[in-house]
Amino acid sequence: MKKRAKLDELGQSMGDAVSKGDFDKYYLLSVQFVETALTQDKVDWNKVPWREFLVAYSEVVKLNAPTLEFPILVSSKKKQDKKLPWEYDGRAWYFWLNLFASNYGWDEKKIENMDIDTALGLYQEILMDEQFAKEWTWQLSEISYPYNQSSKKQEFKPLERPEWMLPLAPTHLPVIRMRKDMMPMGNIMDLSAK
Amino acid sequence: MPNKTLNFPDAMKLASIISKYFDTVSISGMAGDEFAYDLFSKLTETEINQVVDMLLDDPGISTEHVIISCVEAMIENNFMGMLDTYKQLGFGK
Repeated sequence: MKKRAKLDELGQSMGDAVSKGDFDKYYLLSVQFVETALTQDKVDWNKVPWREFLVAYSEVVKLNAPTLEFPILVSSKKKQDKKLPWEYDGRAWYFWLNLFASNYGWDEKKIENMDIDTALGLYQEILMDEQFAKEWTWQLSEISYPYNQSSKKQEFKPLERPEWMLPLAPTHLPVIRMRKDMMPMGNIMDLSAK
Repeated sequence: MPNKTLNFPDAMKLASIISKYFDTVSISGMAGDEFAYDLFSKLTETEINQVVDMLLDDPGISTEHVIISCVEAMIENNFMGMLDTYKQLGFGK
């Protein structure tokens, strides 16, 4: 897990190097990326044909990728490039360490040796427990029943859930026949692409 | 003449030079010699020296042979794959 966290950070820095068009930095980071996952002695990558280097890199990516499709990893929102004020190099590892140590009381050694699938699965469970606890507190509070002007009643407003916890949208919407006189009037604007 | 097998940084450096003038689509429709002479007529003197140094072990041969040897070395090193990789990584046009 500790090395996996380092790979995540290196991957992000590689992305930054690409966006700045800095190939030299990208190469140094990609060598570090491959070497983080290597168990054998140091390799002189300058003597390795470019194809073989790429194969080594993609093997590292494949071997360290989660094997399960966790909903938490799916998001339609674009990640913000802006660095948060509390970010620093190496934080990814402390994030995981804090998460599992505070939730399960595990020690550093145990967390370090965790598998990525187990870590992500437990992370999602922790977030779900937190969300359900927040929802419970929310529905006991008065602000979850705002006054509706049109119905003149207080109506329950559920607490918003994160995107990955929302029901899946159907991939194909059913075609429904509608009477002509019930069709909307005026110009049709296609908003499906927006 | 022995040609060099390119490592990753050299391969991407070569791809960055070639991709200034060609992409995989424009090359695929060209004959080998047509591409060779077209490429070397477009490269600057510095770029030619870089390409020759990267690809040939013994650049001290006639100009005609240098061009042919360089293109042979590019083919041996799969330069179309290089161009694709360079673009896929996000560095190309």
